[in-house]
Amino acid sequence: MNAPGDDVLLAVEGLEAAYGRVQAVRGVSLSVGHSEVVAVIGANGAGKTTLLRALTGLLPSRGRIMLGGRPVARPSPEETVRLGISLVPERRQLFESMSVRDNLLLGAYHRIGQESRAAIEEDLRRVFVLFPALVNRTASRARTLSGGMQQMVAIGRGLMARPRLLLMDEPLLGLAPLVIRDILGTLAQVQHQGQSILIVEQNAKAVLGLAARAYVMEAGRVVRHGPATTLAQDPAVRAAYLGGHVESAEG
Amino acid sequence: MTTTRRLQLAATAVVAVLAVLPFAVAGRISLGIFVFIGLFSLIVIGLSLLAGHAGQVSLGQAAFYGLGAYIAAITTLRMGLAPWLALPLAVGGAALAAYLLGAPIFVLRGHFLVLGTLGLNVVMDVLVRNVQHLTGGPTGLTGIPPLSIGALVIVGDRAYYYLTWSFVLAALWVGRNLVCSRVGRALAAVRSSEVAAAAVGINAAFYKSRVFALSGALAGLAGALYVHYLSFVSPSPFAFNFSIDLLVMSVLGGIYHLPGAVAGAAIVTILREALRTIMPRVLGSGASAEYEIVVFGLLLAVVVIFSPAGVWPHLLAWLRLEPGRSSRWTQAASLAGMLPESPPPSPRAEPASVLRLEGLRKQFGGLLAVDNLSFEVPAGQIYAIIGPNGAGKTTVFNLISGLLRPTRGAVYLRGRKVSDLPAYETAALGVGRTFQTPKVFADLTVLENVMVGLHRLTTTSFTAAMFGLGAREDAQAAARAAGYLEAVGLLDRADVLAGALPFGALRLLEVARALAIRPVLLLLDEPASGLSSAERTEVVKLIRHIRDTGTTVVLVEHDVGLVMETADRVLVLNYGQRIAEGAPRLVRNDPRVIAAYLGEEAAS
Repeated sequence: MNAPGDDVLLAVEGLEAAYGRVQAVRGVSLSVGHSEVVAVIGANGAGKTTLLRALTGLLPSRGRIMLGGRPVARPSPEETVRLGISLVPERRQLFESMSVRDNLLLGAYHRIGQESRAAIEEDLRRVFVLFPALVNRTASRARTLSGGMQQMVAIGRGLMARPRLLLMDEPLLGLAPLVIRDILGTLAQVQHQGQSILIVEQNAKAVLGLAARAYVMEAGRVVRHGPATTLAQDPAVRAAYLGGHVESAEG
Repeated sequence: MTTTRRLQLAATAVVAVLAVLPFAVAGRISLGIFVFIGLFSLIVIGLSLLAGHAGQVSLGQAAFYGLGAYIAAITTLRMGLAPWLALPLAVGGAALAAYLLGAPIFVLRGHFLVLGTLGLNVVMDVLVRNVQHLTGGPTGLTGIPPLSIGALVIVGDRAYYYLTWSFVLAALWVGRNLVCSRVGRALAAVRSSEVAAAAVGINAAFYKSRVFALSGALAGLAGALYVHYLSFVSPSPFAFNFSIDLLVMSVLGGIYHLPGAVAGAAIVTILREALRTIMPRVLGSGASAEYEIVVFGLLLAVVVIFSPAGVWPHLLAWLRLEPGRSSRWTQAASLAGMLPESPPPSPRAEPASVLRLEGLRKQFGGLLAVDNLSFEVPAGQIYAIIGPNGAGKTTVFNLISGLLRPTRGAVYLRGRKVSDLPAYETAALGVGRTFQTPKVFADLTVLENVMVGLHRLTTTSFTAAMFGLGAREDAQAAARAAGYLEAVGLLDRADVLAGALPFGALRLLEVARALAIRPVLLLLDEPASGLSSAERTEVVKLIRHIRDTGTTVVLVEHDVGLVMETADRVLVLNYGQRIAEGAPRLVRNDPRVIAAYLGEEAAS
């Protein structure tokens, strides 16, 4: 199922991570190809967020993490950003008292001094093309934005790092249907431009439409994986994560 | 041997050691140091209740210690009052001062509160130094008579030792009663989240002032004992740096545990004495005071870094005396189904609408969040509010529940205007709510969280709680709380700390807590957000069940499927204004709603 060697951007093998004595990720192996969107779905407490925290070095972990064929040894958050992994965290986590523009620029923090100002400004323009709704709010403080716009800023900030791999944690949480549609559309566009994305999401229905492949996590382990369309048809997955039938039968 | 039994044995052993200590150390160590440990313990117990249990950090406790001392000194020396009468006067005076200061000072929060209480030391110091005809100014007062009752005169180290430690044990007993009571749970709720506490009808200001008064009383008591013991008083022991010492003792010992107060007072006092003897020997005489401070600083830093909860929890663990978490309620909880549920609120002719909003407007600076909004919620229905992010839905909830005041317009609950009431009163009138990001009391158990929800339906007063008089009511409350947990399916986790629950369970716990106030109106803010499909199914069932048992439900939700399945009526907001209202099916097909919120796909 995994893409062959050359196409693999991220390869994770036997990843283990724990909070104190609580083992939250147990031997997870997964891969993300170049320009591929991969989804991880699962119930609350399945270990999805922990997986992302381990990948970004926010939480110590054991196991192999390879990015572009090179090991990411002892990842630290700063180091992983430099290596090209950027996280759009759960519940946005914006710098609330700072402007939209400054929030976005902070996404490119590690590039300042390494690259020309013009390159960073160019990426800023690219974010505003992706999210035109933000153009009129560049000077607004992040906390004054609606939830949907905040999520756009969070994604934009992630992209400003020019990551090889963009990690997203529940980007659709608490958003209105129309906003969800817009954001999914933008993500498809970003993927089309060659961005690799690993997305963790509770809204399985929405995300299985976007992703090429998906992994299902339960109790810290990957219990199923395959093409998103196959998983979307899998009766067990439908019952547990897509809901549709169960509820309409009741209502 | 059970932990309870071991704890009883340990407590008995401690009391026995305290009783024989004067004889054991006779001739070797001055008993005076143990008197001081007792005095400081009294103040630090008060501070632990205030800062550790109610979450209100004060750097002004030395001021109340000084106030008690000077009241005792002045009334006995200058006014010739009998010392045994001066003692309650000093305690009452310090308590009253704290109580009256409570109203203005608790407007402040966090580090502003710390700075505000810091000012109390300065005020006290200036007063004492300048009202010389009463206080003797910087030189102080001498010749204060010892405590006496009739012919019994209390003098000497040993007498004050026993007296002080009797008060310490009494203070621990009172403090423990308070912490384990309805009042203690309310304090913990206020510490954890004032907003969530208000949402179940707890008046935070009421409890903050009272616990501040209690801490003032304990400090005043220590002050009065101090002057009768030493027969001398001067301003310096009550200065600002002693307030810091007290906080150090509290943090070092363990601010969340009352016996930690005694441990902290003992460690700091004994260590200081020891350093005073050791330091000059090690480093040669002179400069010892400075080194003592350095060692203290290091010790405090080490404790705060490695054990923010102080040494007490480690001491308990080391002695294998850790109490099982709240096992005291487990038995009560097992009665859940057996206790007859008290009758529902008296059946009355329900007005057609439970909730009515009239011309409601809310402005945040230049942002108009809610604009001339009027709607009515019929009794016994599920009423959903939907709309784009930032449409003002949560603001409407905050206006209804009293967390925000409307700029214009009014909210009526069963015909009564509630928009000018504080949030805790609105809750008491029967408006329950949950929050978009669940606000549970993380360091209380799941069961205790729901017991906090029963706050307005229980009655144990602050004073009654101090003397442990609420035990019966508490047992009943635990049983009723267990009933609500059963209704939401969390009964098997009753003894778990709420902070350890997974996200989906937090939402259910919030609903159980809101149900415990017996709401006529329940506001649910995105009840299904972040839930898995299976959890969502449970929530849908629960919401219907709540409506069917007579509570009107208003919910804000982005899960349009859930809204269509459950709601009897739907209101759609955009930019703080109503763009549609009516039956779910009609709203779903409204072109304005499709354009602003649903999008073409979702509607089809």
